[in-house]
Amino acid sequence: MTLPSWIEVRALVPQAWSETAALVLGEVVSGGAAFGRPSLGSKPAPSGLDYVRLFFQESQDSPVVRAQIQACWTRLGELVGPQDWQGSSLEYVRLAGEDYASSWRKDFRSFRLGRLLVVAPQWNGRVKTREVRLELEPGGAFGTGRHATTRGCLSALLACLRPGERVLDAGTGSGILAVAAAMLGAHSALAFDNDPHALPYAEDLAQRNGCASRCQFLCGGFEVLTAHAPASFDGVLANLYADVLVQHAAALSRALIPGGWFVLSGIASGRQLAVLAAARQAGLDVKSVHERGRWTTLRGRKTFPTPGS
Amino acid sequence: MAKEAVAKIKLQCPAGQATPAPPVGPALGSHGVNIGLFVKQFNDQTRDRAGLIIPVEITVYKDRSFDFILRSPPAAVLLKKAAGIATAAHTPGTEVAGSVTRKQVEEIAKTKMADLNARDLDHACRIIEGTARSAGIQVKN
Repeated sequence: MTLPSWIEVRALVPQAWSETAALVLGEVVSGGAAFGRPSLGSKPAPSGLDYVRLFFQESQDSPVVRAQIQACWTRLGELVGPQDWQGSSLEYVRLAGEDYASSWRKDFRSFRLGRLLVVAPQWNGRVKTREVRLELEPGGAFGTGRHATTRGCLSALLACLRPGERVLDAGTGSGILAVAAAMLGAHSALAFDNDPHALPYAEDLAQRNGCASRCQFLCGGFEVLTAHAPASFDGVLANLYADVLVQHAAALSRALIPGGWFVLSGIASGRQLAVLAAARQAGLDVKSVHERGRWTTLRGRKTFPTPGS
Repeated sequence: MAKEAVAKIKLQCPAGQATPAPPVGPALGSHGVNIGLFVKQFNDQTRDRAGLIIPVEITVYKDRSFDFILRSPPAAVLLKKAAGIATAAHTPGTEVAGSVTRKQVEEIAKTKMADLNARDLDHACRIIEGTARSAGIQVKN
């Protein structure tokens, strides 16, 4: 199938008039508009100006269409007035045909962490013996699994998790940590997130990877733990913000069995000490600190109660 | 999880009818954003406003995740609503489709102030008046 080529009508106009420019040029070129610089590599618009870009298929291009666009452009200049119109320009750029519905995927690369292999749905590479293949629809509201904090948690999960354990994932987002735990051998994973958009995505991820029966996703914050007895989990993952970790360290500790493992992440540089102090006070003994870029992941175990306490 | 924004992208798309084709594809594709997912979510949220062009601002994060907010309708839509007309003039300049008062222009300018990036209210009013003229809507005192 031949994909249609496009003509981009690239107008540089005074910033405050950009919406009007889209309206006026849209009389000829319908279907919406984009604002801002055309690509990551192109120079930003000069100060006070902005790009307005409209598109039509090359097959519809003709001298008549261009004359109509020029007439709209002239009218726009009259509306704006000569003083503000300085620096404005109009040009046409041809865009080769592209399947935009799938071409964005080209930059997504699968990645391996230990025996965990994270891939996009259409990936058809080789899975090594003993490797666990986790299929993730990249992008969306919850990323690609490549964020430093997610990778930090996945690495920790690989190191800490033992088969048959019950895992808690606080602030699950895409659900990747809960699903990875289930796929790596956890008995069950309970995950929660206060973003209602997260749940369908996480449930789809578990379904897609064949572990939905062992993953439970709840919409809500730490209050969801009140329905569970203390020490209900062998391991806890919390990829959140430092402030949230500080505030809820005690709740995370309460959910863990004595000696149970925990992973705290989403800690930006400069916030590490506050989280370490909160963890210590909650009876969470941090054994190791792992840094990726400006993000820190803490691993450790819940302390055993002192005899007689 | 903590997120780092790397880009803000502004688009105007037809409510309920966005597709991966331009303007969406070239604007989001270069950032590695899941275009199909954006299109689905945008259309789901705007389906009840079919026929309108909706401005949308998309924030792209370092991990290529995104979220978006729908902005106030374009000034032309607000002007048509204030004038009580369904469509703008086909030949602005010669055809008068309707009229609005200066007070209505000022109200619309205030509504759109944040989006217009205008110097002040007078500048915003002048832009709204320009939009009115371009749609064949007269501004009366």
